[in-house]
This record gives sequence, structure tokens and C-alpha cells, in this order.
Amino acid sequence: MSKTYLLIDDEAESAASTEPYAEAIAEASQGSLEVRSHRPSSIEEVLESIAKTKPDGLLLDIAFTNALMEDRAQLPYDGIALAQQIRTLQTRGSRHGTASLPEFPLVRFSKADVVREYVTGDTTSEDLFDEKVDKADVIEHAESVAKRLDCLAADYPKVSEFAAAEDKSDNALAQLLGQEEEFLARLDARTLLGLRRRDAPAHVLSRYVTGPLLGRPGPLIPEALLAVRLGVDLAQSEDWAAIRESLRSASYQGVFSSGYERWWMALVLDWWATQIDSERAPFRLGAGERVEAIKRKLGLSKVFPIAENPYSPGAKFWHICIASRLPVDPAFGFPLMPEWGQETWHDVDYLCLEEARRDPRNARLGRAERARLAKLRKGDAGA
Amino acid sequence: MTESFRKALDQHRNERAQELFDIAAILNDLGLTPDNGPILQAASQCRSAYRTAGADQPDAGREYWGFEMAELRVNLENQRHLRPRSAVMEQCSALLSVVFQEYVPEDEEGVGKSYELLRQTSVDFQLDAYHQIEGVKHNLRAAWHIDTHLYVGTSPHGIHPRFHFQVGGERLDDIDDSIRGVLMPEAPRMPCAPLDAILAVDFVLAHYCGDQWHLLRDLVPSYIRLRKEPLQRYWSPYFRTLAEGIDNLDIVPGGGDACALIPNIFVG
Repeated sequence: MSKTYLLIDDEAESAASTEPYAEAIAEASQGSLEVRSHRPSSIEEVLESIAKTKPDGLLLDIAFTNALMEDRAQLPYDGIALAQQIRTLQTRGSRHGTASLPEFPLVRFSKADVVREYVTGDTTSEDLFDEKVDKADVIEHAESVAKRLDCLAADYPKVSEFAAAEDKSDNALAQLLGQEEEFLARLDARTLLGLRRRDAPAHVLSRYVTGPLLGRPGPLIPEALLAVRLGVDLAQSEDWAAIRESLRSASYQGVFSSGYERWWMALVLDWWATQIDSERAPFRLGAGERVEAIKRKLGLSKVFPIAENPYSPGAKFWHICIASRLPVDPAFGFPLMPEWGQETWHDVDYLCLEEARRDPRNARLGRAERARLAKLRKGDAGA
Repeated sequence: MTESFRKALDQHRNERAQELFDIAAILNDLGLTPDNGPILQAASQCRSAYRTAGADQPDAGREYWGFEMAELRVNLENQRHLRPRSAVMEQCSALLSVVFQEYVPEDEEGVGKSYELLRQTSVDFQLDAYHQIEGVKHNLRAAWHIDTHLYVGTSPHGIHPRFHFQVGGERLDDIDDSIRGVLMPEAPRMPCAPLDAILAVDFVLAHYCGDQWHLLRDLVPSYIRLRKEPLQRYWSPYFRTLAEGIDNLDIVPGGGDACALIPNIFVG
């Protein structure tokens, strides 16, 4: 059965403005998503319309400047205020058992320039949305957007069920994350605190999954970083699919996994130790050695190592530069101080050598890193 | 292995992982390392599959588990009384690596009880600085390591205490050609108490980051508590074995287990 998203957009009645997005999403989802548009007027009318439509998710534009009230006056609220009102109603509904608005995903859906005008630098609305989609992305990367929307709508009821349970048992938590209960003990206990909150509504828990857990490398890593840690040049390696297949047991199978492909780093290291090399961990080896070991053990030929790059020297690549997206060998890269919201169990962000050279006054470079960089700028050969 | 034995061992390994997560968080919070990733990776390895000692290794066929903390960078305080005196090392960081391997004990009672289960605990430390002589810059490196000697009584050369501290080693290979005025023979291998990753980090902080270490001691009780378990697990039986071996030399002239730890402990 297809899932329905309601797109609330001030340009909804001008079909030419919203139809392309709705069509692109529906087409990319191969029929599993339907997007209906709604032009907002009064806030009561919008909430009534949502309650009537019973959508599986909401796509919410931020700016409502082109919509008018019945008396032709400008709307006295915007998409962020509406999102806050919806979240409040969802929370009250789940508490009192009279859910006028059930829990469903809320997705910010705006153009980049609108986001710049309304939000940039202001993080107060960040927690309202499960996901943020740039309208331009729908046209350029429709498939990945549709996957994320689909999994959010499909798995939200599981999160709601978990949120409603009085006792957040290890068993329920393990099921939510698609793992055996025993596996939870392998994680830093801090990692799961956000999901053990007793009174948190579903959207808070959902945000914890899509944000701290899946949104930033740490216990779970995305495909590009997985390839870096295996030393594999993703673009060149035709046999990457076979490596992924071999790593299936390490892949994340929990809620939202169909839209957010991730791998448990602890299980990737297990896989390495049992399938590839029990003596030497991957971080001790250069990319070439890692790839040779993988090819030998899995019987593959079309796998190529990440090439050396003077902008990001070294061979024991383990991170991805947050500016250039180049693989980074920590011996040559520049770790950045944690930013707001970055936990101790998250991976540290890195700049590659070239980006650090370009941005030596980056406020997140610690004193020791600046001193290291200054030495390099003076021509010191060592990293 | 019985179910309860397996569970006890799993719990032991989970607790060792959580210790590592905890110290990673503390080092991160206090800015003592720019990247706690190597500790997080080590913690992730604690529950990897058991490995088996190879036919050409001591205790062939015996199962063990372990982890590796590779090249943790530790931000150091400025050091005093450096030699050469011209050495420059302001805002310096050092690299600390630890390999830890522990045998699966014979039974549940033995889980995590003693240093005797340590298959290997090696600690590598490297610190780079430089100095200028007549306008020419020269790299300087300090290096030491703590090794486990697996082959008891087999070395034809100088004695190898079971756990020993040694200055120099392979980490100096890169600057070997430029070493002047200092000679570093293999000996001595100073016997020392074994260090796991927690104790190794503590050793480095205590020696190279004195101000921060005193702050930790006075203000971060969770850090102090973190050291207690490994101290009691490894150091307590280690020193007890040595003390008993020396006290009982009249009864056991060969030194018994103490002689295996420090080959000098015997009288006949």
C-alpha cells in the first residue's frame, strides 16, 4: 500500500510550482509514495485538513508569503510555527490518548535560498523536523529523497510503538535497532541514552535515530566512509557490490534502514578480523594492503585502492575531510574540536592537509593543531 | 565452555569496552586528545571473535581476545629539562599505541582475574620535537615501549623480564642516521608492572601532562575510579607474586612464578 505525504506549500495551487516535486517523488518511489499538495490559509484550516487527510508524513515549506487568509491578509505564521504547533498536538495527543494528530514524520521542504533567509544560523527549529530536503534535490536526486521519505513514513509507527511502551526494555531497543539484545552491550552506554528517555514522544526518538545515530559517523558509518576504511576507491571498483554483500551481517537493519544505509563499525571490524585478516586491524594497514587482503580473501579482482593524493597525503585512510570530501589519513590530517551536538562517541571531524592550509584560522582547530599546521607552513617535512 | 562461563567472559569483555569508552569521553572532554577515535575502535574490538594462538606461538591452540589502540594522539604539556637543551616542543602531541591480548581462562572462576592471563600487552610511545643547529633544523624523537616477553627463559641474550620497559626501539629507525652523541643499547629491559590501555593512558598523562593529571586526580573522580579495576586486576597479583617469591626464596630457591616475571629472582 502506498504512503501519502501531504505537501503544505504556499504555491500549492499553482500546479506548475509543486507538481514537478510530487511527480518526481512518486515516480522515484515506484508507486510507493503519493504526494498531495495543500495551500495553507488559517492555521485551524491547515490542521483540519491534515486531520482529514490522515497523511503518513508531511512535507512542509517554511515560507508562506504567497498564501493568504480568507480576508486576503498575509498568513500570521510560517512553516516553522506550523511545525511547532503540529509537534505540540502530537505530543498532547499521545499523552492523552486522544490523538487529534497522530505521530508522523515532518520534513522541511524548501528551497535553499528560503532556508538561508529563515533559518541559517538559527538552530532553534532544527529539532522540529525529522529530515530536511532542499527542493532542488528532489529533481536532482529524486531516488535518494524518495527512499528517505518512504522509510520515514513506513517506520514511524514502529518508533511510536516503542515510544508508547512504558518500559524501554533492552529487547525492545534491540528490535528497534535491528540487532540482537546482546549487541547493545557492545556499544558505549551513552550511545543509547537518547532512546531510553522515558517520556519522549515518537518524534524526539525518531530525531535521535536520524540525527545523532545515523546522521553523524560514530558507531554507524555511511557507505562512503566504509569504503575509505576498507581502502577501496568506490568509483573505480566494480566488485564493490560483492564486498557489500560479504559485509551484509555488519549492515544496519533497524528503523529507517531502507533510506539510510549504514554499517555498524564494530561489526565491520569483526568481519575484518574473521574474514580478512585476524592479525592486523585495517587501521594498521595502508589502502593498498587492505585492498590486497580483501581481494585475496574474497577472490575478487576489480577492487582498486584509494590513490595517494598530495592534497591529503598518507595511505592509512580512516576519515573523510568535511570540506574537500577527500579520504584522510589521521597521521596527516587535522582533527577539529567537537562542535555543538557532537558527542564523545561520535567520530572526530577532520580537515585534509590542503583544506587546513587554506583555512588555518578555523575556530575548530585546537592550539596543538594550529602549531602543527604552522610548523608545516614553515616547511617542516613531518606531519 | 558452559553458558554461564561464556556469559561471564562476555560481560568481562563488555566491561573492558565500557572502560575504554569512558576514558575516551574523559580525554575528549578535557581536550587531552584531538581524536579519541583510536580508543573507540579499540573498544569496538573487545567483543570480536576469539583468536587462536598459532602452532609456532607460545600456548599454541589456546584462545584469546584483545584489542589494539593505534596511535592515539595525546596533547602534551611543555616538558622540563629536555636534552638536548635546544629541543623545541611547544604545543606538542605524542603518539600512544597499545596492543592488548588476554587468554580465555580455564574456567569461569578465572575470568579477568590476573596478569597471568595476559598474552600480550605492549605499549608504544613516540614523541617528536626538533632543534636548530647553525640554522639547520634537525628532527628529534623520544621513544619507549613496554613489551611482554612471551617465551619464558628462552633468550640467549640479556634477561627478558615478562613485562619490561625499554627505551628506543624500532620507532627510532626513521631518525637513526641522524642520531649523534647518544648511544642506546638494547639493555636494560627494566621489569615493570603490566599496563593495559587504561593504565597506559594514565602512565602517559601522569608523566607528560602533570598539571592535567593532578586536575583529573582532584576533580574527576570517575577517572580515578576507572583506574582502580585494572590496578587491582593486574598490579595487585603482580606485586604479590614478586613479594611472595622474594620472601620465600629459602623455601623455593628458584623463585617460582616471581622468577618468570623477573629472572633475577632466584638464589640457587
